[in-house]
Amino acid sequence: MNFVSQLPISIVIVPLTVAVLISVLLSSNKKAAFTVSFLAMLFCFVSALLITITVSMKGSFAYNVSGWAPPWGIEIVVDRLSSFMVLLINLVGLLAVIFSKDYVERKLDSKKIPFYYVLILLLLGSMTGFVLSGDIFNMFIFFEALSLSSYSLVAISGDREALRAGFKYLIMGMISSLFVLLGLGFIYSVTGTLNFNQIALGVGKLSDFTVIYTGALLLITAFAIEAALFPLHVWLPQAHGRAPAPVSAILSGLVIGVGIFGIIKVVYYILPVVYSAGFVVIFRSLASIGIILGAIFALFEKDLKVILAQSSISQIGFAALGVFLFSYLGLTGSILQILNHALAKSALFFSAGAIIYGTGFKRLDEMRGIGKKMPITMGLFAINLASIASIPMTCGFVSKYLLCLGAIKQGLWGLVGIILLGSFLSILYCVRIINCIFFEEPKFKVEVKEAPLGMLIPLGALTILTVIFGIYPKIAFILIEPGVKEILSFLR
Amino acid sequence: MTQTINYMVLPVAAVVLPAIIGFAIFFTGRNKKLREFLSLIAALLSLFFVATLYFVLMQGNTDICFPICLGQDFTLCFRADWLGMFFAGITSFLWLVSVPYSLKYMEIKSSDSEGRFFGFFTLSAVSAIGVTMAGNMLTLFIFYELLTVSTYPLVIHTETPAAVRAAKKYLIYLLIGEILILFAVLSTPGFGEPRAFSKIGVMFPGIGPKMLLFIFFSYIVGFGIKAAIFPFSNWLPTVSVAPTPVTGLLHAVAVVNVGVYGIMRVILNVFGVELTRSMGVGVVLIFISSATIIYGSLMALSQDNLKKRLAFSTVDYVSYSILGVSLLNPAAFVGALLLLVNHAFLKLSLFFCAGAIDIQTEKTEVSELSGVGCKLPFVSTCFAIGSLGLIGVPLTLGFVGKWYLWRGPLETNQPGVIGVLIAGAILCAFYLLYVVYVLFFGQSKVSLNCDGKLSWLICLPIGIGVAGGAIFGVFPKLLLPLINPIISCYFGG
Amino acid sequence: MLNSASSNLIYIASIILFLVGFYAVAARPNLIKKIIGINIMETSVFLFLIGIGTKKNGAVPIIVEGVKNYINPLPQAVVLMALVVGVGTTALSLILAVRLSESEKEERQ
Repeated sequence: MNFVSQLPISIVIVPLTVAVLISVLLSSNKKAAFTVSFLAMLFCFVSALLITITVSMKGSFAYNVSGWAPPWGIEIVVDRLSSFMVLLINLVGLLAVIFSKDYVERKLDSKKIPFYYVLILLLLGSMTGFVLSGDIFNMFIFFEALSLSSYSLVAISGDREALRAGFKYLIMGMISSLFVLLGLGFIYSVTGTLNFNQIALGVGKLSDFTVIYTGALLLITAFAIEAALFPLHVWLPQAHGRAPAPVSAILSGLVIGVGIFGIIKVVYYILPVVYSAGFVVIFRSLASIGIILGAIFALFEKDLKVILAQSSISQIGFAALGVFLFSYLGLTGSILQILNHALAKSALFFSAGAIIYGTGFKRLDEMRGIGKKMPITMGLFAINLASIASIPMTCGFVSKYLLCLGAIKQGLWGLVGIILLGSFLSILYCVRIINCIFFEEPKFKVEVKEAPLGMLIPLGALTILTVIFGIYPKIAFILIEPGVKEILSFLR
Repeated sequence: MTQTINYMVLPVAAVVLPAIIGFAIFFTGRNKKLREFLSLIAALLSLFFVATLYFVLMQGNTDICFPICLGQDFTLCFRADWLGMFFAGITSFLWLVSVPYSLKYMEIKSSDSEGRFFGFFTLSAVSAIGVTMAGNMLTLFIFYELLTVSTYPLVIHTETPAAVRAAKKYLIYLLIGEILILFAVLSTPGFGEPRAFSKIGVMFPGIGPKMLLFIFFSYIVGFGIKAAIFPFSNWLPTVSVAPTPVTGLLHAVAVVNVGVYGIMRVILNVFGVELTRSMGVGVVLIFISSATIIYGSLMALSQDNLKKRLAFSTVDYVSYSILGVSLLNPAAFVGALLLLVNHAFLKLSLFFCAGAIDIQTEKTEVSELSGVGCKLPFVSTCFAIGSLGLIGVPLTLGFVGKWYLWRGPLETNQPGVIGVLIAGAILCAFYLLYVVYVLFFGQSKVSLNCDGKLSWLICLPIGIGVAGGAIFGVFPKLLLPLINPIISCYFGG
Repeated sequence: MLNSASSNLIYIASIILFLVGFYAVAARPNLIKKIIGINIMETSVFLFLIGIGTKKNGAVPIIVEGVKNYINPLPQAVVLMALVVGVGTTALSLILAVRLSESEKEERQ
């Protein structure tokens, strides 16, 4: 226990420190940079596994950085939900680092490669920090670090489209972090603390909720920009479409999920008396519009990665919808959806990356019939698409099933319709991709080979998890259920 | 104790083991022998398990149920009861029959992605059996959707523009149905509990009559799309562009039967006979199925393409069974089940005949088939016998089935239904016998280039199908021990 | 009315600054001006945060015998950190802007 209690801080510090070390010591040695960052991520993954096991057996615990207690010191809170998120982040992060090796070798200027790993480690470390933060201010700091490294990663290839996408993302991201700061000020001015647990206690004693509402709404808006919820999603398709494939996998699979996690924290810890509030309806309808619009845009895009990015908007809409259902089923479905999306969408971006790596094809109509030339890669791709399309026996079905059931139990028939329509549309765009990839004669003249093993391993690992969670979701329930109940107890 | 556990696992094994083999088929690549072996083994395995389960059921064990709890409101449940096993029996037997045919057929119509074809072929058949082995509505839905998903690659298999269009239409029709079913399943109390299927149906506490009707019709339309009921039947003829084994086994047997099976489950197990009667929805169902019978027959008459004609005939024929269920009368229900068996055996062989003619003469339109009867005597004779069986001349199962079906409206005094049955039979005779007439007596204008030699792998399944229909027609008693427990379960002796 | 306006002056100023900055970000096509706009917004937020922490006649938050009326130090600490982060972000955004204009220049040639 003593050993494990030190892990939460090291899981944040190790990647950040290693990042700095690489940029100083190994800035010209790309092989060593890869090895070191791989080892760092391996350490983080193993620690995350240990933390999750400990938490699920012994309950949540907190770690006070350098021994200072909460109101003054930095508190790292490891509860069931955050440990689950940490595990997810470090799993996908580890796989993304493995996948990157071959990909960046071919697709990135070799001078940039060490810095690529620096940024990836910064991104993953700060994401872990964000999830583990017990107070809003640390959340803000890690949020900034996370955003900075993602802007840079989007633009790292240096071509014009990528730079433009990165700049757009940067403007949105800066506004979002200003909103965090502003919301933090509002909340501090009435509760006198920035620690989540203490805010949750303090909110109950307030007589006037106006200020705290404003603060919470600002925070939700800020995280909604990061999570690309409907009206604030404009930056996402370009940013995720133009970034290098492993980066898109992290951004689409993890970063927007972490945004939803931020919203969950704000909604359940800070917002007072949410049930009657009229804005819940607004958030639900915005999430619904996002689900439908994202899917419709995905139906008409031409670039495979942009299709996947549009589908992310739709899929993350499901997760947001679950958060605003304020019920056990809704929240469980939402977190399962984050899990499903992290696994499946990362795997999809990996496969898109494998296509780009092997052939350079980006547009869907270029890659007609490629499934016959790379059957393994594309077979795994198809399984993950099935998860996005919520076909039974994949993780995606379970999450949408729970959301739909939650909406039915609450009698929200409109939302039931939206969820069903959204899954229908997602099947349509997935079928469009499948038709193009598998059921056409290959016409391209390039020699196409199966992706290298270093790409297939991460892809396969994610696919296996998707199928396992789909066939036997009990594993996921065991991890999530107590955490959801813990968080729901904050609901007033 | 070990004995009990042993047979509890059977329903799961009947689904899981063939499914694993099905996945293995994807990886056979160029190894044709292995693929053939695996396809055959999968079908044999599932038939073996179904037969064993029947044996266990006959020993008097009625509670063969294997729940797998996956979470709150999320229990997969595999269960064998008389109704489900009846459908599982049809599907697994005809699956085995059609494996050699499809192996030979695909060999002749050579294509380079046979691994994909047979993998999904096996998976589709397995999911169809999985639907019948489902113990609660959730499991039923899951396999139902898997059936749709795994048949999609089969429909699109030839990759021609027509196939792509047909596959898209197929998917959209069936997915809309599935969304309705999912909605209805989730609104049904206790859908995810281990033993949700009971004789009397589930209780619907706190659900108003309007909502109840809405749920009921979501179910009926959802399953009805798969059973090709009237306004939603157009997908079935369209997908006849798929390779013949697919149209034969999956669309004439597995898929539409699953649709009918779903409707039966909804009426008998979810709502229960009593509630369905008191809701007064039987009339609507009778109307829909009658409309489908007339529509299917008329459309079949107007088709020149043989497979399309047969597909519309499927639309027509399956609705007899839906009619039989919706009369809510034990005799009519027996008729419905007998007609299903009859249709499954005979329509399979009719489709296989059409495929055999296509292989030999490359003719697909009825008007081009003049004189085929002399060149392909075996196939044409089988086609003729099969047609007679479907029309229901005496000494065939069709006759027995229709005789039972007639007793329903006679007992409940519904003359309109009788009229529909008569009209349906006459139209059916017209559209099938016309083909037989052309086959044997049509004036051949073009000389057919065929050597008349068909592989026994093609002839045997056709023969078995027709023979099955004939044997059951002469000895319908063979089927009654399988049907009687169902009747006594739901209609009380 | 006037009194409440004067006591809320710092908030009013920060709102005006925020809007000015937002206008620059939203309406100006020039990337540098966008960045300047973001910085103005940032400043307004800092002003707001410091405004929260101030007290009338408050002393510097250092423990001195006899002084009991402190300014709240935490918002200032937050602003300090945010300033540092802001510098980093601005630097990155300037780099991106320069790169972008360079690549556009190449495109034109």
